[in-house]
Amino acid sequence: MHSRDPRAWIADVVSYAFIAITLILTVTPIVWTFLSSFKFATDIATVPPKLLFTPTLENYRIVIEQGSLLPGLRSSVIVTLGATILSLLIGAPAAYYLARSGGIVSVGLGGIVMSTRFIPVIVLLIPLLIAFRSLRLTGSFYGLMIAYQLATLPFVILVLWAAFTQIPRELDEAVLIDGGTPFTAFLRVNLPLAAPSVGAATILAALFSWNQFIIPVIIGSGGGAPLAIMGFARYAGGEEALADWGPLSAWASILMLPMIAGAFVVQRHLIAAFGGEAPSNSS
Amino acid sequence: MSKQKQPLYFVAPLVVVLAIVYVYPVYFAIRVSFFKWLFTRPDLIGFNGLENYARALTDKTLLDSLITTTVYTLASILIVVVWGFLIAYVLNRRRRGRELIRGKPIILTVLTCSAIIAPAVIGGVFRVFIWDPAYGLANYVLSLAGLSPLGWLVDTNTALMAVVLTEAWLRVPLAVLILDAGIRRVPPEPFEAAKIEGASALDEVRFILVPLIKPQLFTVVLFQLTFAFRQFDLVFMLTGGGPANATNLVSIYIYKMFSQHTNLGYASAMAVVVTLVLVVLGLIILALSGRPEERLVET
Repeated sequence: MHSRDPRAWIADVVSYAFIAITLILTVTPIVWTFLSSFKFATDIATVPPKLLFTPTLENYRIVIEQGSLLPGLRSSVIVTLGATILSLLIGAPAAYYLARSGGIVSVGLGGIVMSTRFIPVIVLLIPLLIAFRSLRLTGSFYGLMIAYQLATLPFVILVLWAAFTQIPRELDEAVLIDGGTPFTAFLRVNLPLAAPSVGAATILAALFSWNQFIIPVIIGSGGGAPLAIMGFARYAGGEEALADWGPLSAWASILMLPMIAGAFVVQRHLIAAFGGEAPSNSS
Repeated sequence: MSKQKQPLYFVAPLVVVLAIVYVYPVYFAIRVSFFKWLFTRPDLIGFNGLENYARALTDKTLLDSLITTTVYTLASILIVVVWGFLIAYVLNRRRRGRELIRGKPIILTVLTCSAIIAPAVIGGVFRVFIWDPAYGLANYVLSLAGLSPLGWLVDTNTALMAVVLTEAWLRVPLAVLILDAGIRRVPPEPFEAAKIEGASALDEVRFILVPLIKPQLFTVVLFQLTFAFRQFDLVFMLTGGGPANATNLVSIYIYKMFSQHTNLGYASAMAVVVTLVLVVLGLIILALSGRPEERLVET
């Protein structure tokens, strides 16, 4: 150990402690819920909280036998996949247009997309339900997939807009000179170059879709099995859940763990997507 | 370089979807806000001018709800910005040319865990495992510190604090990611100059770092403003707006109006008022941040 300025040393210790406390605060509720999902009721509601206990899979059995979880997961996966794909199909070309074209259409559309962030979603859902009835979209998952665009499209468009802005226009011109169409320039040149951002946008869209709650509560699941998160909410608000937290924690774990596992798999993209890593349009 | 024209088919799908999920509902909500509109009594539907707005502006519960939501939003913005900045700052501290805290990527990944779980699930879980007065971890931690337990969500005095803390838990990591991306891009030269001038660490933060990452700080504020002001899922699952309306956020109040009272006209008028408040708050923040159009793109 060299002799060091004690004040610097204290600053370092405080820094470490601060990060450690933050990590503990972040992780504890998640780990605690996960641990509790393997506990018998008698080991959950205790003072002090029990770290050592006899593990059991009973809670998972209860949740699965209760019947709405597995069909709910299936619905959730279908709607999430559909909404994510739809977001990319709509958002990628639109983001390309916004990045490449000036003028009233671009400014107007960009403004409308961004303004969605300022309106409480709940306001839009009843009129949307009425619109879906007349469009005959209430009888399938398609309605939900379309409604989810309210949550996913702004993020997909923002991430890809920034990405396409970074790609030099000269490449587009080269394609046009070679006899290509604007669409080939988009599909064959710009989209591959923006691949990392497309990845980030996909992750965000899937994340926001999987986590939607108020939209399916109002719009419904189109006659299919209610989404897993709706089943969770109904269960979490019921008497059984409050009497025994075990099944509740099992259900929550099943909804949380795929996201956390996914986060570790795609960590770089996720951090980039949230951090707005694609440098912004320098105006 | 001038922007070239692109064919409109690129945006055609966006226009169609926006028309269905956004423009039409907004139009419908604004129109219906001038009507008496009861789901249960279609025969009573009729134009009633500004009556819904007159009612909204004198609705004591709506006013309370707007105040609660503003407190919720401002408190969570404060925690998220301060805590998020401190973590991002510490993560980027350097000692003898290397980062003081090793393993930043893994730390950031762990932090994202709370940002990616559905707020509705967090609400359902925190209600019992953290905030339960008898067996929750919050009171256990208080007891370790020798403090007396609190009622948290079931006590009108502490419920709002508990939901704000949960909101902050959910969003601080997001702020860390955004601010870290900003701090990492700050060039070292101004700090070296400051060292030579003999500036303290605090001066460096105040006069060099904060001004340089102002765009990211405003991004976080705007992010948190739009998340918190529109929050529904989390608080609906934590308290359902209770106890005694202590956590009755505007989204929850509008939801109750929709689901219990079935007067779509009045609920829509409230929604319009709430949206206008949020837009004004947002515009103020955008104006303060300078270069508003750029901030809008980044968030």
